Amino acid sequence: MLRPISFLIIAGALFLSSCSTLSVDAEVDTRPASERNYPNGLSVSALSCTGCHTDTAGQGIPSLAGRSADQILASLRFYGQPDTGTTVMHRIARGYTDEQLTALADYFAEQV
Amino acid sequence: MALDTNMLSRRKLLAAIASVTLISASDLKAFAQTRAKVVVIGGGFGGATAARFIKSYLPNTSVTLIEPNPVFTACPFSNLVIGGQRSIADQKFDYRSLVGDGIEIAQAFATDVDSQARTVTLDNGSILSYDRLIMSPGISIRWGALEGYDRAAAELMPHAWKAGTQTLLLRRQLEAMEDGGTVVMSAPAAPFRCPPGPYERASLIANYLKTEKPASKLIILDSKDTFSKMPLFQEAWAEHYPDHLDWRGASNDGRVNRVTAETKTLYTDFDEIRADVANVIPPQKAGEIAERAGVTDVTGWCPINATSFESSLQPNIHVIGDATIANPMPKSAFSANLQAKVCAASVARLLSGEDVLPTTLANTCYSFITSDRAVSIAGVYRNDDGAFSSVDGAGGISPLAADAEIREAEARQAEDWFRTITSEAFG
Amino acid sequence: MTTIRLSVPETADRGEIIELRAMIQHEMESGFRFGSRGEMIPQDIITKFECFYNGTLVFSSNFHPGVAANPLLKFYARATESGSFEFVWTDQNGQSWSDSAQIEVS
Repeated sequence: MLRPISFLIIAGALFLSSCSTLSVDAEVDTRPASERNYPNGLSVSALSCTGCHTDTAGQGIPSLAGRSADQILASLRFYGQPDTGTTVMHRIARGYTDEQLTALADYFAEQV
Repeated sequence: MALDTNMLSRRKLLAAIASVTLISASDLKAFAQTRAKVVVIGGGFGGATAARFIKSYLPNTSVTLIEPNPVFTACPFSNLVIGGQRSIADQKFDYRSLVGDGIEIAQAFATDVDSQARTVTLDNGSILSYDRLIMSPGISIRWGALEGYDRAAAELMPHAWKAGTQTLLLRRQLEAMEDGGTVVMSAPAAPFRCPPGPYERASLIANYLKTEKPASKLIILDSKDTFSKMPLFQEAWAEHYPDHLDWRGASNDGRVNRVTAETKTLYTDFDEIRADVANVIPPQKAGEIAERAGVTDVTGWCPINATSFESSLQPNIHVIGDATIANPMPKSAFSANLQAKVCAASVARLLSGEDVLPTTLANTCYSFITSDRAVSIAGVYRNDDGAFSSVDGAGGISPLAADAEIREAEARQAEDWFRTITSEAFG
Repeated sequence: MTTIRLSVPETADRGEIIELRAMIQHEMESGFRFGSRGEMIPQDIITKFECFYNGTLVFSSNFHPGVAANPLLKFYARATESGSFEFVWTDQNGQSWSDSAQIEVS
């Protein structure tokens, strides 16, 4: 008897969440990554990178494999400087805060 | 703010439910992990990516991808096929890796969506139910919006705006054309799939004419006065194709308002132009299933909440890719793939009883200007509070008057991008 | 440089009804649109169009927000004498553009 009732309530709760449009950076899932398969907080923004950067290097786009967070962050900060360079990375890196760049560098250093 | 009030009331409500029934967030997650069903419509860059990422984020969730074609033909790089530098075989991708990931492939057309019953009907008669539906229906042609341009006309004046047989038809017509012929392209008003696409194609057709049929010429009749990467294309055309490419904008009577397919004639307000090969890129709208699902508005495109990618018009249906109203994000394969990943993360969070999170999104589009040189446009966006916005100070186009090495480097980056993004979408 | 396109027959029989077409390059910014950062794009439109046949006003039209960019007008006149058709567009700030075409009536 209990199971169908709780099922209905869960379905109701899911419907509520589907109606919500709220979204706040502050509301971050604090569980460790091992308990989550989906990205959390700032790591969602890493999804923008993986359409181009894989763990194998190409002729034109470098791989991030085997690089330390410091190396990656130094590159990202260099790209983000105004009026330097010609690649898309210069135009993209300027759209991120230093906090975001640091989080991305940490994220990709952990991946490999 | 209204949002904050909603959030509080919703939290209170959830807390009330939880206190009465003793259901915790982890129970919700367990429910999602064991019982949730996600259905994805459309196996392009958006849909295939979404299916794979949902499966990876929620491994116990049942994920079904509905796609009628066993093989996908990619639009990016298909202009190189039209220009004669690439084989159509290099554009084709199948769904074997998705099957290996544990994704069910329903090889059928989705003919109807019932958002109340949460079901999708297929043309083979089966009905799939879902907890969350992700639609990535791409574009459909607005037949008849350009007078005289219907399905039969497209066999004589190909659009080649969906890759595959149309791509090859245009290529064969160019090959069959005698030197001294006139190629005419009609470019539509915005919005349409791949904003720089017509101009990349024009560059590569002009490149073909210049090298193989030097007495021939391409005329672009445009319904716009400005277009994506315009200064870069105009610079490239002046440098590489001064005798082989003419562009006529809307204010210079470039807007085509009628065509006659039998004679390959295009009519503007003041002129009529006979073509030997005509590439008519017609007005477009969201893929047809979007309209039947009730997720399109009067524009023919799909309004969405930019944070969750949920339809503004129907609950539990998320829409991604070219079909969406996502400007300033362009209708590109890069956008579709990224939107798919962010949408998958949102759906995973929602199915786990959590709120969606806003993030920073980027887009990059490369366009070839010759067979081995390319230019690019990039943008950085936020999707806070359900709406897209550009990030100030970021994005833009390749430098003008750049050395050949820079253009060649961007062509190599474009090749790498194509390899990576197709591997992320199709394995 | 503002582009103007006109279509006026070079010759006509006296009393013939002739088709005239006129298009001007203009954004016709309605004032109702928002830019990519949410800012309102200010209105900038042509408000008046006039056509003079040998100095006499034979056709005029008021434009409002909602008229498309690069507005095209197609209308008809009776050819009565040789001379010129002059087309004049005036925007909301009073700036105007004009062009003319000759016709031979026999």
